[in-house]
Amino acid sequence: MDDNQFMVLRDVTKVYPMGDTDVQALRGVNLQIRAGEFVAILGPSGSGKSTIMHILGCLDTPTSGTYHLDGVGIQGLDPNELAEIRNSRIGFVFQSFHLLPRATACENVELPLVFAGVNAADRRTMAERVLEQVGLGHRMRHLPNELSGGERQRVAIARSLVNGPSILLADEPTGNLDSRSGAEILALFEQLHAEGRTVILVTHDESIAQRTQRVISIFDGKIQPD
Amino acid sequence: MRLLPSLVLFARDLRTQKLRTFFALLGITWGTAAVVLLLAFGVGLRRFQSRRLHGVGDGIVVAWPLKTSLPFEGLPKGRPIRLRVDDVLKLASEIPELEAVCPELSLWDQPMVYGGRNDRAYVGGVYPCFGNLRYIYPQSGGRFLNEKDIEQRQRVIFIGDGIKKELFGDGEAVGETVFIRGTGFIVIGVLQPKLQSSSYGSGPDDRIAYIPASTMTSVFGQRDVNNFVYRAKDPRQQAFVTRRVYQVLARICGFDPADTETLFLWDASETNKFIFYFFLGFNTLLGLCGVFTLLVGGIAVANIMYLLVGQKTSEIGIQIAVGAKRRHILTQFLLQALVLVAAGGVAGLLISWGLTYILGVVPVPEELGVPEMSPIVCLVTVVLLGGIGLLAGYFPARRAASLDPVRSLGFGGL
Ligand SMILES: Nc1ncnc2c1ncn2[C@@H]1O[C@H](COP(=O)(O)OP(=O)(O)OP(=O)(O)O)[C@@H](O)[C@H]1O
Ligand SMILES: [Mg+2]
Repeated sequence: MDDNQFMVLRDVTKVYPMGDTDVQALRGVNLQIRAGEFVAILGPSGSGKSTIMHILGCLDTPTSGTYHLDGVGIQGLDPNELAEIRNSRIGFVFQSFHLLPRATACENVELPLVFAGVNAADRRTMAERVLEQVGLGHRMRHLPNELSGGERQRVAIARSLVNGPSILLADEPTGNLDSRSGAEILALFEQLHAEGRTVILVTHDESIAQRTQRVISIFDGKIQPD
Repeated sequence: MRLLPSLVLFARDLRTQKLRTFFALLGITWGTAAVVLLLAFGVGLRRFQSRRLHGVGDGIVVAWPLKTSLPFEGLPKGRPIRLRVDDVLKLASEIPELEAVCPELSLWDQPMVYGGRNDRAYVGGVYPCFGNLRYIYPQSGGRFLNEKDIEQRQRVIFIGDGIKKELFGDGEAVGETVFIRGTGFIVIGVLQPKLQSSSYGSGPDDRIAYIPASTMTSVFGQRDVNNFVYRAKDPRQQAFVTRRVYQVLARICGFDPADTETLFLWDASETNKFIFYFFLGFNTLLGLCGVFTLLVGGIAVANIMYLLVGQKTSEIGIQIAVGAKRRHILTQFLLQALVLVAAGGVAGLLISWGLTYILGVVPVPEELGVPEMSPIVCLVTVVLLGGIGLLAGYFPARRAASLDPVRSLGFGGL
């Protein structure tokens, strides 16, 4: 095994039981991603992109096969250990933002810190710093429904960054945005990658995928050869 | 520290459920107040009633001689039993298990005159031990009958506070002379006012006057004992002592010791037991009503929590995605339910405290008693509330904590 490989999926399958029939979301995925790579996972709707992302983000576990993150097999970990990995090493960004609707931008960004056990004062300063970083210094006390789509996605990105994770997983982050906001968000991801993070972008849009270093195509639960 | 933000957000969530929150809080508040008040009233009522009962005397038996119901040694049944003072006094020497026994001679509806005022009352001719048996205690400055009064057949009288009020108003009674059918009696004491719910033939004690039994015989010629009062040293021996009383009197008066119709007995200790169990049952019932009201409130809280869990499925998914552990979600919802219950509980306790305070100050019918917010009642309520909060929170919290984050975020992270 290549020691440089940071995230390694081997023969990963994912089956969702749906009534009588099972849905085969992934059918034997082998995938290796190096630390600091900027990767796009490209595929049509229903091809299994999100499923891969959830597994890479330790939000879900494979039905069979193995996943090693930084040399550690995550199938041997208990839910609390997975929660700690998600909390400290992985940031998620979703297409529909997934902000808490009744929490301000700042409170949303603080959320991962709450579960990391950071005290209130530190949470506030850390959250404010990251919000400044994504260009939302002037929107800290706003509720999500008082923000534009682009601004909401920046809040979500700030939230994914606040714990200083080395991996960013974004599932169609520009899917709900107009082209200008989308371009801004993509520029932000490029910058975050330039700062040294591993960034994995899930998309069905070839033009977006082309902006990354490496495109992994997936079709019907299988990785297509490059 | 990490729970505080969850409570702030909880408060905002509740604002979307104003009506439901209001009714859940109302239920808990109402239930708490019900438990506390009902128990408080129960405790107050019981205390009052048993104090009143104790007014007639603790664990005493009052016995009236009646007629024989069995033939005895050739004599027919239906003979009246006549008891003299000495017969009763013999019981004391023959039954060592007796704490005290006192004969009572009776004159009903006697005119009593003092100066221009007069009254009519029952007069009992008794011995000094009567005071302790029947809780007849003098107000300060006076005394009850003593041995010397008996020996010397003193013309002294101890009067109930009701009679005193009638004859003397607010004036001093001790040392004054009261006339009964032309004979003067010096007042030696006035009864300390007492609470009393039960009494026998002679009426409540505030309307009774007592003179030495010997004086009643010498002045009014009264010899037959109307009744006698006794108490066993050990309350558990009451039944045995009563059997001995029959045996001794049967020998003295000549009747069958198995003939229980010869005496009519009133056992105050039995009434005491009855009152005790009656109020125990009463309090239990009241408490249960309160507990059920609380349970209904608890169900309303659980209902809100379930609703919130359902509504916030995706928010819970977000929390899990950013690193919430099972216990974070669990404690979050548990705490929220507890806070809701605690809010209602505090309101309920305050309301009951306010009501008992008002009722303690404002005159209410004496029979109700004064409600008491006893520490034990409060403790029971707090424990109950805690239990209900935990129950109301646990099941919704468990549902929240076992949500699958991928599913709750929607397929494909949408
Ligand atoms: N929780 C689930 N239960 C059942 N089936 C699921 C679940 N999640 C995904 N699937 C199914 O698995 C397959 C892959 O889903 P996935 O969300 O990974 O696709 P995707 O490539 O992200 O699609 P999209 O571009 O529409 O988001 C689909 O057929 C989907 O219907
Ligand atoms: Mg998807």
